Amino acid sequence: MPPYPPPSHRLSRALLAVAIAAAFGLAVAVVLLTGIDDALLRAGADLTTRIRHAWPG
Amino acid sequence: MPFILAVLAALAAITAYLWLCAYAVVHLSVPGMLIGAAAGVPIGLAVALVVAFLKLFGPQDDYVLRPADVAERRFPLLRVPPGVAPDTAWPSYFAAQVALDLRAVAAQLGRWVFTVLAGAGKAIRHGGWTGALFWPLLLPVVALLAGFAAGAAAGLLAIVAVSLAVTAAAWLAGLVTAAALRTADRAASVLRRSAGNCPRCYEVSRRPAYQCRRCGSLHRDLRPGLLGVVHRRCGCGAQLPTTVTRAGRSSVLAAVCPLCGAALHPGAGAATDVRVPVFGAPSAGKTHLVTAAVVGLLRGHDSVRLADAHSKRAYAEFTAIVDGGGSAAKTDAARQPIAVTLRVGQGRREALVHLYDAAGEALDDPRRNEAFQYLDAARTLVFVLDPFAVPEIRGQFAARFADLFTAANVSPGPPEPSYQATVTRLQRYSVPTARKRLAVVVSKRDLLQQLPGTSALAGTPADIRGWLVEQGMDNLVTAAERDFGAVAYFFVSALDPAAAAAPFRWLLAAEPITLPAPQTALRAR
Repeated sequence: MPPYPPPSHRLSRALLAVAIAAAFGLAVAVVLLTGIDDALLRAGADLTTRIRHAWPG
Repeated sequence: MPFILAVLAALAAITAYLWLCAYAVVHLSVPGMLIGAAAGVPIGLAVALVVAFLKLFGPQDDYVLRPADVAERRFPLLRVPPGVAPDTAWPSYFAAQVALDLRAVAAQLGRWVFTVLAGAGKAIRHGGWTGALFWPLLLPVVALLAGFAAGAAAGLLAIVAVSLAVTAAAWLAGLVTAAALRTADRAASVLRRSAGNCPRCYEVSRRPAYQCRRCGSLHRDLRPGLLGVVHRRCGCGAQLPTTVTRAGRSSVLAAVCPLCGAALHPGAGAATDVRVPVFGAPSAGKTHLVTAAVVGLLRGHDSVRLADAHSKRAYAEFTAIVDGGGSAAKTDAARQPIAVTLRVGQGRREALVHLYDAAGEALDDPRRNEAFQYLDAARTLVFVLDPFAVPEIRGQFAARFADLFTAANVSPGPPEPSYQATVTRLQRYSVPTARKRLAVVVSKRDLLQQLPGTSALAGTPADIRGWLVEQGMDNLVTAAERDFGAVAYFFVSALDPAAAAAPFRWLLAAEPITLPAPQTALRAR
């Protein structure tokens, strides 16, 4: 019995890996290009600022 | 008093500790947690991606559906009839293995995440009560770990979602391609009238089984499907075609009978397959007709060849009889007839022509002729009629030409019962004889022409038919023309191979075969 994977599976797995990498890359690009990361950072900074201001000291 | 002071000091210390903790939460923990969570999520996503790549590009032996598993029915999607062993081949990747690979990715990722969380928990526990006092400082670490776990889970979900999308696309493409290939293969089979014809059990299979020449494993259903759309991979690693048309030309596959496992002729299943049973009364001249016809079809024609060792041995005997002027041995009624098979044409236009010569005694016996399944699957038949056995001829000349009748080895009974025995057998098995072609061959021409008043038989086919009617064979002629879709009449001598081949040329003219010589049809209804 030859070892796994057979050549046709290697090709299909490579195709799947490329598709997954492309999807992740696309997701990162969308996050960066639409500014979602900046918005999240700003929201985090605002939250800490509000909590700090609420601190009585 | 000291006790009260001690209590007050403790309260002050606790208050100061809580104030410091609250201060640390507000100024350190909250920003730290936000930063930790923000860092943990992409780290988890990246780790999920790394695990997926390691599993997809590296070795993965934990979850694999192997050909042996398929053969042991561990591939539920593959529908195989009960009692039939599934083929030993690798399933298509997107039919099964993709799910197992995802399972391997999930298992590996789970192990990694668990290892990280367990390691962190162990480190925190290692700090003891002293470490616990600084709990606000641990909150960013906890957030980092939570973000990491959430990122890994989100990454896994994304990987599963992408895999589902790619699998769906692969299934769609596979279904369309498989349907197209199956349709094309079936169309080619119908147009070429190809089939696998078993020389041992006479089973005619539209799709033969195929044996891998490398490992000997049997592939019963080679069609495009879950075990491969364009190609399939045998358990031994050999790449196999998935259509009968391509399998017929494959050097890796050998066609075998799906019923009894006997080896079929090379190209069987893809090549045009024509079965020509020869029937008639005992001693009607069937074997002599086949002998002379095979010699007539082969001699001088490079495009007609003998297809197997049995046919080659038979041909050697045939040429000795034809060239030496001898007589063929009487066909053994106790043995199942084995076809003499001719291979006509080359490449994609190749055809296998099987000539069956059964003993007349067996053909006339309803209990024995039911085993001759080749009769059912034949589109073309040859009925050999011994003119000396026609009652009119026998009554008129037997006494005066006793020597000639002895030399003719006259069939003991009249021709009609033999015709009826075979045709009744066909009709009993619901064989649509009206779609078949029949060549009625009046044999022993060289001897019959020695009788007075038989000169008309050397003429046109209409004359042969008319002569049969004149000799009281009108019932036989009417029955033949009623029972069969096309009937032609021939008058042949085994001493003239070219003329003996004429009935077969007429029969084969309706098949997708290119014979080297022109047909010599005499009369078609």
